[in-house]
Amino acid sequence: MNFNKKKVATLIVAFVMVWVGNVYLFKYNSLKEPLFIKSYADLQSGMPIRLHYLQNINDEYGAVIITFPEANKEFVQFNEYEWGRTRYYKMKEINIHFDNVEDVKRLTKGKEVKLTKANVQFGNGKSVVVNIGEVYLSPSVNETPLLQFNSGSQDSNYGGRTTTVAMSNGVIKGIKDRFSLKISDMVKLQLNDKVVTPSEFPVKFKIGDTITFQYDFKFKDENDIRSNYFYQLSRLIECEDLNGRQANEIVDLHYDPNIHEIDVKRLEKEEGNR
Amino acid sequence: MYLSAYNKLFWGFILVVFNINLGPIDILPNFIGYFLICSGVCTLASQNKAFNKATIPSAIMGILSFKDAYKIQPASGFQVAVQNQSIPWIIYDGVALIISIYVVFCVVRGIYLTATERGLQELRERAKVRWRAYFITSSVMGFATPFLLNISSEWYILYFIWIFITFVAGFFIIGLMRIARNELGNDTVDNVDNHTF
Repeated sequence: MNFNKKKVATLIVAFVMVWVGNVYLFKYNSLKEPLFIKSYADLQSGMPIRLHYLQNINDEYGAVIITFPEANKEFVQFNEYEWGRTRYYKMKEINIHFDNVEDVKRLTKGKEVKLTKANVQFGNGKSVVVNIGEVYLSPSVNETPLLQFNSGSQDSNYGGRTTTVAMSNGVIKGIKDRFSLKISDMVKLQLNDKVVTPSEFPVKFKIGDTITFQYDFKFKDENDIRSNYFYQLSRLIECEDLNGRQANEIVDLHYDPNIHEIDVKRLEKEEGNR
Repeated sequence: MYLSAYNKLFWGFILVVFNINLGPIDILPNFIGYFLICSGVCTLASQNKAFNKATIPSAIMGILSFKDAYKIQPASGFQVAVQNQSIPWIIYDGVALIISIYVVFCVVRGIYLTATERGLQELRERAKVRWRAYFITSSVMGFATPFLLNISSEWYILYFIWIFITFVAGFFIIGLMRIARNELGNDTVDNVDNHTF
């Protein structure tokens, strides 16, 4: 019952390598602090703000206080829940909801507000100012639509369609894009099953026409960093009837990234540049 | 003469192998176990010098195990340990595992050599087989543990099965101490003199 010194030395070296390797890999994949994923959202009055962040799988704390420097630094009510998890991370969704119009007014003071930063305090006492992307809060508009919503659907491949019926004769003057994301060709417009390109604007429609807006989130390729973000966009379809009354149709575009495909390392570098 | 020394080994290994926590407190603290083993092997060194080799490592383990007596963080996975502890503590865990295996080796080797001198073939073979079982199970666990950090949680079940197998191997080491107490514990100094010198 003796030790073979060579075998023991080999075992210890292998042991040290296995431990160091695994600890290094784990540390490499660990986040120093929660990583917020950018959101691009255009929210009409009352719609909740959804913010998402990644934290290490064993982190037990969550967000406790959130304020927006660009919205009067008012405290906001929110719910937080786990949105998904991978081997190393869990993603939390912060759902900031507005119970009534007054809540929104408190933030917006009746004007449109653009939020790009949030001050988040976590349960562990840490407070960080994070880049949240671009979130627009718009006051509600009570106008009679020229296009009446008929049906809407979303598919699992990050696309969807909205069908409307024209309530009067008029024109579509254009599609308003407030984001500088340049995600081109996301919205396709069909008038009575015929595709209409932006170069054809203004496009006339008659009462009873079916106008379909189809969108599809297609990024350049899988390395396109924008595919890691959350989108809740409202494209404004600028319409006008023959009497000159303007009314915008809103088409909602929705995209949530797949948590397993999020490029955490790239987002961390991006965060570091902020 | 050596009965109480083997008893110390027996109880020492019980404290080391079994870990029962009452909240954050280990009610069977390892450090007491290692100091009992240290005390036992000090006495047994006069029966067989081989036991002497376990004295220092068991004393070191006794000191290193102080921190395990009170765990602020409940044992909820190796990741927690890694995330909440600094790298030196992780190195500490690895080094402690190697030393603890060495302590078992030195004690079992002492029994093996003493049994060989006494011509106790059965005890000798038992010591050899049980050491091998303990060494293999503990080493595999030592190698497997850091992988918990990076493998998917579906594999954890295999790890927990292996913990049980390692525990059984540790249980057999405790049993070996009991057998050694019965077969070698009643040695007198005269017997020792006859066999050793």
